[in-house]
This record gives sequence, structure tokens and C-alpha cells, in this order.
Amino acid sequence: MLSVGGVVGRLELGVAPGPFLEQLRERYHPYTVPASEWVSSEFVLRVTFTAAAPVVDGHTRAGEVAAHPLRVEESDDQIRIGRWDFRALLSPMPNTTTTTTTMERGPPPSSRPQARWVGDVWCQMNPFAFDSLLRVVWAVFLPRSGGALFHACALRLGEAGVIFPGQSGAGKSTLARKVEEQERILTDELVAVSRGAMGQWRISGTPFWGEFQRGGGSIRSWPLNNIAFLEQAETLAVGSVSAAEATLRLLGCFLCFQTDADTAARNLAIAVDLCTEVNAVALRTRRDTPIADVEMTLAPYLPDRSRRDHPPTPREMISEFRWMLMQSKQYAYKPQGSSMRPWLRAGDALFIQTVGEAELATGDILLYWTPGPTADEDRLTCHRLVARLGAGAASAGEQKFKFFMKGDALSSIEAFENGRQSEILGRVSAVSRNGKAVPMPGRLGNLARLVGSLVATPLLKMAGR
Amino acid sequence: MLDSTLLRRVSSLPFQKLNDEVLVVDPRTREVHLLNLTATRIWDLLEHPSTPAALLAVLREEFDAPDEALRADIRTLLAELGAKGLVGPEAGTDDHFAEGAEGSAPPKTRRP
Repeated sequence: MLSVGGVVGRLELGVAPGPFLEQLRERYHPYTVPASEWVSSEFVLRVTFTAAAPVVDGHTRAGEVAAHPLRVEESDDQIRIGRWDFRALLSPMPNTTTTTTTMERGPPPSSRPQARWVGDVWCQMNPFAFDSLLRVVWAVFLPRSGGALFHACALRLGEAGVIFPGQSGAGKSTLARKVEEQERILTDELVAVSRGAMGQWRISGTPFWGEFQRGGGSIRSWPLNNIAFLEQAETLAVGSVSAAEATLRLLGCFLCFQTDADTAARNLAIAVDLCTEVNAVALRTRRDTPIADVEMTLAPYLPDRSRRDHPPTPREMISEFRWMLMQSKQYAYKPQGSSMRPWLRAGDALFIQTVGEAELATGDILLYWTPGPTADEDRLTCHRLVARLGAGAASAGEQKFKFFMKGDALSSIEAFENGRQSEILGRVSAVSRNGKAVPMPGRLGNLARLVGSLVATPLLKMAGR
Repeated sequence: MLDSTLLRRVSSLPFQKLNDEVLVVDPRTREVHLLNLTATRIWDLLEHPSTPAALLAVLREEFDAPDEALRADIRTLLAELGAKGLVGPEAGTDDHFAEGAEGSAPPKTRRP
């Protein structure tokens, strides 16, 4: 499942060689949410990969491209997308929920939310084609929920989010390259803009970067505090831009492929809302202007940069935590709750270490991400690994396992396939208690605690836990 | 264009007013037009069919300018709006999106 700008899409990838699928998984991993069946999504795409067309010669390819340009048609009961190398046909799902009794674990809802749209996609087995398809799909679905994809570089300046819209050659990638801290660059090519729960505009990175580069690390959004239109000039300066002028310019950077009046009216309304609610300026800069100078020039137009912005949903928070953990390989986490007592005490902080599935052993304490039906219902859980059993289904020669987890102070056991119902983020490597690092007991110690927890299960059941 | 030609803005084009200006989008050509104060006033007046002479009569009351200058401005603006496909003769206005309609052009599709 991919989440871009808060719009979640479920992609059911068809048969393709393992390396190709692995390439796609790696590329889009920062934007994935564990693909639990109970997670709400805007759409489900069943993707069938077709053989990539051999490049006969440039002339033939150009003819093919010209004969089948991109077409997007959207109506209340159908979305059609077609190009020389992919096509998709989506229809709305009936507005119903189905009751499920087969869920082994996960959030307790008895009804499973369904996607609003479902459809089939045929895409050439080519990462460029697949990436273009995703760009088009999100360009269609984001505006349906009041957001949009814009051609813009997006940076985090302190806690403030700024987008720098511009057409190709405006200097978006150049600006992004000046920023050393990767976590401050949301994108250098296409930014997702959407409204937060409180109605304020927020921006988030996308997997769609210039020159097919990989970038970004999480689905975390930031408040949109300024729209700075890039202009090349000899001296660095900021000029004011009226809301109408800003709308005019922003519409030129709106990623949209439909040519119908309804879509144009909707996009116009989105751009007008954005430009009347968010301050816009013209940023005149040279290609070699240091980023620090750019930031200083924009500072008067930004809010108090020390004001902390918190991820608006647990899903965004966990996604960002996953990114930080992957970057530093070890990260501190302060759990809440009492499910791991007595081993874990109030106030303890845990050091989490990234770890491969193969290195996990029974008795280990793992931190894992379980998504809920909505982004507000995701949770991080820190429980002990009770067992790991083969899940039978193997894909691309890869053995799949089912992980059984238990809180020491709980009698129930949860089970999941890693990356599907839940995603293991890491293993607890040490505990910080009263300012001192307490090492983990080791494998034998962990096993002993696991046995103790299992033995205590009848008592825990009696106590109603 | 005759002073008696009945004109009307193309009703199928999405537009939004922002302060004293109007943004008009032509989805077929993928062009967005920002109309200034005078053009916005003409756009407003052409919500209903009107002639250049009638427009002059209204604007004469609102703008402090000699008749000849005003008439020339209106003519220029109407020509510009017409060239952009925003305004047209009353008859056939609804055919703006018909194939081959005057002012239509192949959409400039931006590639993803």
C-alpha cells in the first residue's frame, strides 16, 4: 500500500521477475504502509505487467508515443487512463462494508473498509512506465480529496514547510541540491499538498523525483507556510505576489491530465483556496545562491521557526520513525502502556536496532507497526517474539514467515506476516532506565522471560488481561 | 466587429473572482487567463448577451474617460478576449468545446 499526500492506494502487483518487483519495493518503500486488509484506501489497482516493448529505433518509438499519448478521462462512474505503455480502468466500489470473521488479529473492527475505486492496470514491465502511471493515478486521486500534486521543490525550513513551484528548468532540483540535510528535502520535483485534519494546508514528499532519482524517506507532512515562486535573477530578493497572480502561476504547475471543464473548475478552486490562505512570494535568486541566504531572505515570511510541529497522525509519526531508524540503524523510543511489565517499567526508554528477519530469535522484543483502518488508528507495539513459523506461501523463492507476538503481561498472542498485517521496525537492543543503559538479558535470558510469561498466561487470563 | 454584434462570455469556462480580478481557465487549451479590472468588468457584463455599444453605455458611467478612448479600449479588450476564446458571438457560444470550434487547440498535455 502506498500513501502519497494522505491518499492511500493498494497496489496488487501481478507476476513479474523477482528483481523487478524488488526494485519497485525498494523504490517506493518510504511511502508504504503495511498492507493490512483492514486499512482504508482510496483505490485498489490490480496490476498486470506486460512485456516491455523492445526499443526498435527512436523513430518507431516516437511514432508509438505520438499515436498513443496520455489520455485521462474521469467521470462519476469510471476513470480511464491510457498511454502507449500503460492503461488503467477503474470503477467505483459499491458503498458497502463487509463483515469479516477471518481476521486473526489486528484492530478490532468488525467491518472491513473497502476502497472507493477498484480497477485493473496493464503496465509494461518498465520502472519508468510504472512510475509515470503512479504519478498520473495520484494526480487524479489527490484533487478528489481536495489536494494536489504540484511541480515544485519542497523544503522544510526549521519546522516550516515551503514549496518552490516552477516548470522544468526553473531551478527546483538545483535548489534541493543545495540542502545538505536529506531530511529537510521533501522533494525536488513533485510535492503533494493536502489539507490537514484541522483544515490547514500541509505538504509531504512524494516518490516522484527529478531524473528518476530516489528521495524522501517518509510520508510525514509539514505545514505549508509559504509558496515561493522561483525566478532567476542576478540578486537575491523577495517580491510580493497577489493571490490572483499566485493562483495563475500555481495553476501552471498543477499536475493534471484531464481536459474537462469540471476538473478545471475543481483545480481552480483548489489553487485559489491555497493562494488565498497561504502567503506567496516571488523568490529571485541566482543558481549559486547559498541555501542559507535563501533561508535568511525568506525568514520574515515564515512563522516562528522554533515552534514544534508534531506529526498529525500516528501513521505519519511511525513512518518518520521508520525512516530515522533506517538512517541511524539505532534509535531511542519511549513506550507507553503496561503490556510488557514487569520487564519494562514506567519511564523506561528503549534502544531499537534495525535487524533482518533472519537474525530474529524467539524471546526477542520487537517493535512493530500495525496500521489501523485510518491513519489515526495506527499503533506501534513492543512485544516479545513467541514463535516464528513458515507461512507456507513463498514468493520469488522467498520463504514467508508468520510471527507470533505476546506482551509479557498479556495472555493473548498476536500473529502477522511481516510487511503485510504489520511491519517489524526493529529489535530492542538495550533499555535506558533512570539514566543508565541496561543491556538486554541475551538470548537465554530472553527465552527464560518468555517461558515465565507463557507460564503466567493462565494467571493473566484469570486477571482478565 | 460591429457595435451591434451580440456578444457573450463563454459560459462553459470555469472562472473564479479574486478581489478585483478574475481567473478564467480554458481546459481544452490548458491556458489560464488573469483578467485585469476593466476586463473583469466586461467579463461580468457579458454574463448576459450584450453589444459593444451597450457595454460602452455602462462603462461610460463607471470610468472617467472620453468616449472615443473608451470605445477603443472596449474594442481592443473584446478582440483580445475573443482571440483567447473567452468571449464570442451569442449564437454558437455553447459550441466552444465542439470539434473545430474557433479558438480551440489541442491540449498541451504535460507529461508526468
